[in-house]
Amino acid sequence: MARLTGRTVLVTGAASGIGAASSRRLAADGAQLLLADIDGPGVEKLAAELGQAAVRADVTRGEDVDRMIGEAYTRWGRLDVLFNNAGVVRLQPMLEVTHDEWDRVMSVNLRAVFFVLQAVARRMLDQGVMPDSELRGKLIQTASIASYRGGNHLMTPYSASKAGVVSLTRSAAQALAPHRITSNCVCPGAVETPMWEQIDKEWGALEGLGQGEAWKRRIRHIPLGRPERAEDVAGVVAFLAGPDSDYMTGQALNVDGGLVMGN
Amino acid sequence: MRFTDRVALITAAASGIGRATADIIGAEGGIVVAVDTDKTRLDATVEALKSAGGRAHGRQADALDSDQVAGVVESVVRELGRVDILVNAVGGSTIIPRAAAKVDELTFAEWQRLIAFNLEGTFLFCHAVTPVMKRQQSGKIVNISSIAGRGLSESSSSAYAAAKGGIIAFTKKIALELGPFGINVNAIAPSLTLTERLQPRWDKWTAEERARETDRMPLRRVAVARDQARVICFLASQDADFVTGVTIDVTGGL
Repeated sequence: MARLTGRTVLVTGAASGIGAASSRRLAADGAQLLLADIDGPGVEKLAAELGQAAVRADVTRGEDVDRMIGEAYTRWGRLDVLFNNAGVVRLQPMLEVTHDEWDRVMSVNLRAVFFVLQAVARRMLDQGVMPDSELRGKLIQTASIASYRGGNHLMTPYSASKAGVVSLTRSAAQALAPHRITSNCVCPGAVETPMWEQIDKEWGALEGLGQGEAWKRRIRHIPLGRPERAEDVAGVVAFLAGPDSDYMTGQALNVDGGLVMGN
Repeated sequence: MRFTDRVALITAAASGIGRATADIIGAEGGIVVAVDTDKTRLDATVEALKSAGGRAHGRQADALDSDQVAGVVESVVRELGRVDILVNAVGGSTIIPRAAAKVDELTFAEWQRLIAFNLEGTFLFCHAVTPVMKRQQSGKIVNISSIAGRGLSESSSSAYAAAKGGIIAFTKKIALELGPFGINVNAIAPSLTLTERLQPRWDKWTAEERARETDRMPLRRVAVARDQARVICFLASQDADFVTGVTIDVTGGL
């Protein structure tokens, strides 16, 4: 099915996990992609496989962000969808979080997500509506169910940063709706990705658990009874990138198998 | 074609959001079972779905009558073998003379009518399809709440708000119960949507009143049934396989 034929999409954090799975899905649906990641070889490999474009970019650096967005506009003259997905995590007991660690997580997960969104929105304001849509463009952020009560006690800065992503998604929705730009985010649960391998390892080290034990504990109570895959999130990202979600803005959409249900 | 050979039971399917949902599922390969009380409109809906190349069956039934609901589900299972999708679209705020009556103006009888109309059909159909979906170890249920269910509506009553808030809680609770059986349960919460029932009211508003309402919407237009149906169909599709217990506000940013 080619529900996104002709739609142009910039994906940050595209080289692995949810970013990579979403890129595969969006490409399969007919979108044209610019894949961005701090991991240059990784993102180039995926882009080559999908026949799409790649750019190496550190989203915390203003000049990289300008170059990345400039690349999209040079290539297409417009950008229909931003999948603002890059993020990092580190597990630490709350009482041991240092200023540096706090700043590192906030810098990628919140500051960069905001300034990438802002830079893209400024450019989108100058473009016409997408073909077959009343909208100029769509912004999609990756937040997390960690922003809710079910967040992990070892992920304080991460959880705060993702709650911030939900908040700025809503602010952007209000600011940009009159300009016919929507802003929504996905809140994935515990997803089988390289990020969760890292979480499992760090959590295990902190609490003396064997490999895979933290993961098992986290997924035990998922009502749908199976672990979440990056492809589960990709299907929702494809919906948010496509025309069927055109009347939705400011929404934080949980994709977690019912783990927290937004509580 | 997201719904090839999927059996989709849709209530209040002969008009409004239910009808718009039936149109999409029918066009994407699904087998629509349209349920409605209005025989004329129901026949017209089934005819329209078929002439658009879809497969459709009509069932004239009252979603608020437990025997009729059980009968519909039983006949669908007997004839089509399964129920993959249930869309509960029965509901509305305008079944009382003054839809926006304040709490001190609402009569108890009106309160009871609104609670029943907006909750009982959804319960009865969920109750009746659950054993079928449990046997299948799969199924998608989509309920319709409202922005009023978030407590935010000036054009409807507190009884309607309470009922639609009830849909949000009911959706979460049964998502929790039915998740282990591979059944997803979600809802949408629409803002004012111009359906056949509401269009005449909208048409009676002055130009200024309509402009004020449109300006109030961040996306600067009022929803149509298709805006809601598209999100329902996402929730009924494989793309939402890991989404359960959520209520998506489809409100143009309100």
